[in-house]
Amino acid sequence: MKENESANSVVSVRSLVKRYGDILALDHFNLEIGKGEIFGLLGPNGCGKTTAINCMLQLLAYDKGDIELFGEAMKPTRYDLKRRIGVVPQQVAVFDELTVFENIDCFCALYVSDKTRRRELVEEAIEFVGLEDYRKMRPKKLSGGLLRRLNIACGIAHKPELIFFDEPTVAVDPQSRNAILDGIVRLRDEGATVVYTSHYMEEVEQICSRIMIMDGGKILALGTADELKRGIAVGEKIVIELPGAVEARGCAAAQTVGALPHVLSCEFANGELHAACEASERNLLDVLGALKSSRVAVGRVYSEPPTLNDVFLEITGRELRD
Amino acid sequence: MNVFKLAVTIIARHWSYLLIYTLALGCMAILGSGAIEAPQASEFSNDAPKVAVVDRDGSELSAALKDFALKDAVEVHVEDFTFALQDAAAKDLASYVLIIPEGFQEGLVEAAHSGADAPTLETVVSYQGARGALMDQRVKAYVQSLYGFASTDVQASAHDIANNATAACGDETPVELFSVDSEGLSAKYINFAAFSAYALFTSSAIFIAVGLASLRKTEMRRRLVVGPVRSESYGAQVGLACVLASLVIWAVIAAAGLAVFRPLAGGAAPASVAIVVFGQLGVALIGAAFGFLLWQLGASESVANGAGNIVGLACSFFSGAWIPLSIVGEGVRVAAAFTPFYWATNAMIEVSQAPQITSGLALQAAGEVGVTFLWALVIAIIAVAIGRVRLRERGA
Repeated sequence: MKENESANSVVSVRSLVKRYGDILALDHFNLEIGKGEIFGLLGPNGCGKTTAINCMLQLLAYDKGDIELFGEAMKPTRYDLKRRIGVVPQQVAVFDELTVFENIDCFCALYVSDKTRRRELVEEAIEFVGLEDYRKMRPKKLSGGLLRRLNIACGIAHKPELIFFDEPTVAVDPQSRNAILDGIVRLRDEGATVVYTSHYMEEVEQICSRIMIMDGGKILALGTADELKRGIAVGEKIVIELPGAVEARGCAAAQTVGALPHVLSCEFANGELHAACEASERNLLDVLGALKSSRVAVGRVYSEPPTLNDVFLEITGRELRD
Repeated sequence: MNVFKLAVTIIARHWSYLLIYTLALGCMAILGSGAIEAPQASEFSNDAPKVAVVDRDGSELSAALKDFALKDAVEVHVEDFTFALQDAAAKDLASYVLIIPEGFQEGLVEAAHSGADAPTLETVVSYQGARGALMDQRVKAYVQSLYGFASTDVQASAHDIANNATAACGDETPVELFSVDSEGLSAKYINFAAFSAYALFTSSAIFIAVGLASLRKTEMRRRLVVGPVRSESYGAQVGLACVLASLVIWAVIAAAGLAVFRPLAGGAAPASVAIVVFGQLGVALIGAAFGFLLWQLGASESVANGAGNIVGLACSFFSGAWIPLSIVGEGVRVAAAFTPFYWATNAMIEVSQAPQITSGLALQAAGEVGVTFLWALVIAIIAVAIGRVRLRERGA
């Protein structure tokens, strides 16, 4: 590890090993997150994301390894470091007995004892998540999306420098999801470092400066979204509608396209031809030319770059959401 | 003290439990105790049971036995067939039915001379009240006397035997009622204090276990544990919130008792009232500790309600709130000493029965109340230990 990298790190994890009996949940896990990053931990359920976070937060004891936060060793009794951290758990963790304001206030009170300052922070958090009209409501009266926003407000009201978001958009409507993602970016802009776990690739790709793909407690890939995509063979995906094409004709067309030099694979399914190509400027022209020479009628055609799911698929041989 | 404030707030939001348990059960204790009257009579009189006698022998001894049974009793006439006799007892028409069998006199005298068993009397005792059972004892004692006089003098006539037995069993113990200027407590107030143990314990336990439930949710604990609050401080603050909740319950019930029964206005010594009130506090704190234990065990709302009620009922039974321990078996009395309310109730009864509160008695009663506080402490320590073990298990 480079020395200057470690010095700027807000989170530094080295050779972390965590076992649950015979199951190896984290296998020599390493992580460096710099100040002001939104770092995405991506992987299927059970890949070790939450275990890694729980170890960093000292909620779980681990078998081996070192964890440093803000350049200092993190221990369960490092309350000074805990004071600088915010956590937004996967499940909504708020008190049904308290109103929106009281909920945010009670969690903020764990970190900030000054009443006047706390009131300001709570008001800011309410405004930040857009719950101004729901201050006096109890959580049971809020929709799923509003509850998620309250959950976030409870974790960020004390203005932490490092915030862990554990799947904050699960079961959230698109409007609330966008509001949450915009809010996370704003937190980063205000100086916070964010660790964001999700199995929604689009979100991770949208907001994270760097992404780590995990599976089976191991790091499979690490880099920016572009770096990860460039690291795989697939450079472009082309989808072509073949109107009226029967199964046999579609499969024949897939064989023709698949034989092209830059095409890695081609399949026919549901009246569409799906071709995965290497990065090349002529992919689309070559594919359409091959179909024209085979006298296949072509409908709509569109081309898209590879997604993080393609990255995961190529590395593990299975879909991220399997 | 932020966790303390949070814990107090969320417990207080379950105020409906205060209404259900503290107020409703407290009112029950007041109403139930108010119905119990202390003896008011100025003269002592024997209770007159309703007795039916069927004399199938018609002898001199059977007539004497009948006269004895009907002395100081209200005679009830019943038909001499099985159903009528049983029906009389079942419907409480007679507390006691005595059937003197045919050949009773002859059989008794012969048995007395030969040393054999006396003839058996057929009796039916009403299960309502103890009057019939007491009469049965008296009749058996009279028959024993007949048997005794017949056996000691084989020449004695039936007339002499009957006269001797009647004279022997006719003595009555003189009874005189006198009043004492007592510093004790009224029976109503003591009954209320004993009954209120159930309300105090159940209210505290359930109010706390249910009120704090949301603090135990996994994600909530996770959120709180990652905060900058020391685990010792967290536990202590939650514990303090439990104590405060039980103090509120105790204050409501104790104040209601003092306001309704006015023990001080009735001439009771302040020390004896203090013993009762602190005994109630001890029971409330046991309830708080038990509620804390249920919370540490992660009891659901229904489990907390069930456990609070069952344990409260069992402990108040063993304290003698429902049935005086003086009339239960020795085994139950021994077992009662190992239950938490027993000591508080015992102290209350001791100070209520004493004509004067001496320093020795006050110390003894205070010690017994102290045992109640120790119970609360022990249960709280067990709860803390369980909480630590569970936390370690989750972290492993």
